[in-house]
Amino acid sequence: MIINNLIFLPLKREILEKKNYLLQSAGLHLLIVMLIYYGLPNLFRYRSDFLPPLPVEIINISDKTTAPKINFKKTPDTSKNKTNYANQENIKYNNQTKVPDTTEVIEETKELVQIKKKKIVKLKELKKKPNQLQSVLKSIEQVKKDFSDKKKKDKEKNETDEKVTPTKLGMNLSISEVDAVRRHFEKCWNIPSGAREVGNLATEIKVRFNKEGNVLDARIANVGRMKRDRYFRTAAESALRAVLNPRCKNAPLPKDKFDKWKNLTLNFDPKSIIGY
Amino acid sequence: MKNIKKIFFSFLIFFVYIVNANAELKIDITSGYTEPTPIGINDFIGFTEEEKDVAKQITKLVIADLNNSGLFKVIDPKAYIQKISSPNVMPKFADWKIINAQALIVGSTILETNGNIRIEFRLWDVFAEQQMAGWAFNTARSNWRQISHRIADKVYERLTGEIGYFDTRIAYIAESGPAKKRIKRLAIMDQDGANHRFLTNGTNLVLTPRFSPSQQELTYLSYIGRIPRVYLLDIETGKQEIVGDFPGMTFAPRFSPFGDQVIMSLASEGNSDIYSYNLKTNIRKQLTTYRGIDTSPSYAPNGKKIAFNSDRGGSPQIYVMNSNGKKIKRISFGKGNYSTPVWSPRGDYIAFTKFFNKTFYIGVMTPDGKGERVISKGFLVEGPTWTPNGRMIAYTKKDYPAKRKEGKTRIFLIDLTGFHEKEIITPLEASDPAWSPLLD
Repeated sequence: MIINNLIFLPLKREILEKKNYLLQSAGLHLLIVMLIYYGLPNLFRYRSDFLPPLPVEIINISDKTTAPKINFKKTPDTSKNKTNYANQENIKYNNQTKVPDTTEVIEETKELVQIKKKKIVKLKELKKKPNQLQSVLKSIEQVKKDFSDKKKKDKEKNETDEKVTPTKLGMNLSISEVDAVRRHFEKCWNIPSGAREVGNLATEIKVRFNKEGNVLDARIANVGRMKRDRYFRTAAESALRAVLNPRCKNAPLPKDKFDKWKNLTLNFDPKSIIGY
Repeated sequence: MKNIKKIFFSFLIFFVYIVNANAELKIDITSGYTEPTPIGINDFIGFTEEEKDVAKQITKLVIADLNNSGLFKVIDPKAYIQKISSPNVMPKFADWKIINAQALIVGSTILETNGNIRIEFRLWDVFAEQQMAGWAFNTARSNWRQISHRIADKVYERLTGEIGYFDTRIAYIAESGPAKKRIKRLAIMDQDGANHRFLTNGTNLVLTPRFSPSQQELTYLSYIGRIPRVYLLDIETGKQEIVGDFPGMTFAPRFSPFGDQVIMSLASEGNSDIYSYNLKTNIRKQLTTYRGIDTSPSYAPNGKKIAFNSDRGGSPQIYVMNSNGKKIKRISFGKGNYSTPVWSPRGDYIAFTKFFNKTFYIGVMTPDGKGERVISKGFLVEGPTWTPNGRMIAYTKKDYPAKRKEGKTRIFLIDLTGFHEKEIITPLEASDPAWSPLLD
């Protein structure tokens, strides 16, 4: 009784009085827990091959494949530079050849323009580009020199390998690249075709790749359902076997877009096979 | 309070952003291949000569069962790189990956002093490099055959998610002699062809055997006294009796899912209707009253519905009705004539025979008539029967006649997807297969 009167009753009173605050506090705590739950695991996952963010101008052309060769000399000022981008986009739809990375070139052209105008680059802008923070201290001439050197190297490179000249515009995997990955894993997947409710057996496999396109690790996303649904377990295991199949080494993933595909979700869905 | 709302929404927006930021690229894979899964079976290990003998027989049977299912292909042991000598050692997965074994079975046989055998085995997932399951059986040595089937069942269950059916039997009609003087005998055997025996001597024509869910009885059509009638046979005692005292021909019998009733057709004066006959109370009940042909009734596994064949729409089609004969609904609407509906033990499909454009087809559709798929076709394919797990269908297949000679009649087994067709080997020509329910 004493304990009850001394501790529980005052506590109860306090709780009743501060009901609102408690609710608010509980809500906020819940939010924080959710943030930790959804936010943290990815922090760990990306840790091993974490790359510093690149200052990329977002050009959203996921379905693209091509861009023409960019001529640095023909970019005298910013406005012309912009039109050049537009041309680039137009041409790329007509031209379906292979392309390397865009972003670098975009930066280069921008800076070249700046150099030609002989304007000093604003400190703010440079701060956004961690890769080039050091250049803040450099004089314009130095930057210019760097670029002429780089251009030379590029030219040499282009001369040795002409096919690599076009430039990549988007960093997302193109449709043909996605198709290549799809075909690659289809040849390793033995479908659980006769299973019951095959229309409801889609399995997501979370795959982590290394740069060679080999699977570092793969796991079934919905492990909980495996325990209670034996058909799903079979389907999930067959999907996992497809990913781990030695015949499916070296997935045809573009090396320059490693950042985009190092963590992939492969969704194995058998329903279309049986005509659902 | 406003502040709280602000904080709440900013958290919400932040949360949504984080979830989206973490969204990974997702690729749908909607196609694959349907070849039998290659698996390795390390010879069951025995230490004494006697144990080795038993182990060898068990290995052989497990391999045969899994191969016959059509879903697995046991890799030729000659190709194995690693010979495992103890079931309790981790296999060298790399060796099994090279030969593309997706699963691996390693087992051992120990003869105990009391005459029993103890069989232990493990099933390994080679690509994932982990044990999928492990079991141990202890039984009288004479049961080695059953135990082998049980081992195959366990592997099949673990790898397909379906219930195994290797410890079951098949009743069928063994056929011999020329077309005009065909001798048809009722026969029964284990699903792998072992323990074959004839149940009738061939003096009377017999057709359409069907197993009772209790397993010890068969119902079938026999022409004893040249009148086709439905009979019941006790498999163990050989005792044969007529089902009900119907005035006229009875045919196309089938048990209810609980084994207490037989449902069949009764024909008189060109009209045939469906009747149920209660084996305990001997009460018969007329379920359909249409003046044309209603036949081939088959219960849903829950006993609440009946699929049957009727020409009430002008041509033979499949209909479904409640088990009391009410709410008749047509479910087949494709081109051609449909017959012999058989409800799957899983309840998700109805198998049927179809005749269209001079060709026979075996197909499946859902009980509401959707998703019709043909899984086999030929000069004559008919009489589908489901394996007890509802995954495969056995049926009669007659080859095309060649050089004025009748085609051979045989039984085939096929996966319900239409893949993995395999012949069930019988001593004579065979038709009208009926699969037994699972043994407990």
